[in-house]
Amino acid sequence: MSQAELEQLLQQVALRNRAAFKTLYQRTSAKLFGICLRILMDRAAAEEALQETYAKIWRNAEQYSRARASPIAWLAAIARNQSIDMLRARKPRADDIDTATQIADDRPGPEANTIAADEGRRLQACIGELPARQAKAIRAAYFGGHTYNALAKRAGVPLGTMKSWIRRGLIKLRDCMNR
Amino acid sequence: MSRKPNQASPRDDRSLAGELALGVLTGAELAAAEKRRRDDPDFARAVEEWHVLLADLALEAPEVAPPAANWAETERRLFGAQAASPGLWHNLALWRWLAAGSTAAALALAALVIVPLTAPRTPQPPPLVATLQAADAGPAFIARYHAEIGRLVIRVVKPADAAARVPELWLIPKADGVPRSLGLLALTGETGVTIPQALRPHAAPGATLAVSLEPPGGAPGGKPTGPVVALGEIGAF
Repeated sequence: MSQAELEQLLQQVALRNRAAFKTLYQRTSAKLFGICLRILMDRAAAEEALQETYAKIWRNAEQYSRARASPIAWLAAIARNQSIDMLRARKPRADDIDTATQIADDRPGPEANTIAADEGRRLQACIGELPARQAKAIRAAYFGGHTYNALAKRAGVPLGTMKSWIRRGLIKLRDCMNR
Repeated sequence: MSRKPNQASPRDDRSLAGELALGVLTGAELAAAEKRRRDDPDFARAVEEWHVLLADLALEAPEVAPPAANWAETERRLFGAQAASPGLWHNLALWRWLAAGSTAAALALAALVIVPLTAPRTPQPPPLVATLQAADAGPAFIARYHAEIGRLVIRVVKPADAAARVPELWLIPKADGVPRSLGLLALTGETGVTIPQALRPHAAPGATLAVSLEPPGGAPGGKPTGPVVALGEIGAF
């Protein structure tokens, strides 16, 4: 399904078209469920997160604007943020030190990303230009919901170092994406 | 600005919004950034842009089909026990009127749907709602009607390219299919309309709301003359 088709579906959902909402779900739920699973690492929690995600999409579809995001990125951000909220509800934020979840740090495998192939390519290229430690830290934060303290402890570096990695990484990413 | 090596780079405004979006801040830093997001619209926009930029990371996750029951649960959560969607409008009298009055620019009947509001938690009579929808290029409206007070609120979702014409709202009762004007609509935002007492019994499920584009001041003679640009059936949630 093309981004243009997704945009039209979102417009219809904004107009409260339930048939379009169902179609949107059919086209995108595997992608969003994959995101929820990756973050929550738990099927029951991921299913809950997915339902909440689509509830948010239904309620907020009017806010989608083509000028600000591709539709799949907008949807993915909702799924990610919903999942992180639920992840944090499971554990306190201030001192989360979860060393068990290493999987989230890794680069993506060769699995085909059917919807995202074009959309994600530019970020993939840009994040590939970062030093490995910056890319790894950013991914860990993004998928693991880790804060600076936890990231520094996991990586075994001083807090200031981790902050520097993340900040520099973010700035380089944005400069790269804006080229 | 020079930085000493091996020290954290000084607070760089370009990254703060990204740090907030990424979710790495805690404590006082987090509170300050959240406050800034509330107070500073430029900053808030930057945070949103970061969410979108970073979303490509989320797209790295491989697809996994959710269990089949998940959709039914989602529907139930949003729409309650009702499953049925209404079909297309099929009042013959209305079709004839539309055929007579419409121009090439006007009309496309999409599936008419009930607009659910947040699921009613109390056993009150639910507000009646309609989505008024037109061809892709046309305007679109959402209407909510609070029967207890006879008040109809129309919200413009996509404005008409009105040129020299104004949108006028019509109620077409199921009983006789004769359009009655409910007044002119603002081009954007919300218009509140109080339905005259005499018409209220007609603002019921099965009736139609329509919007036509009329000369300034509204349709002369109280009958629609311009193209119908949006149409919706009133249904109960």
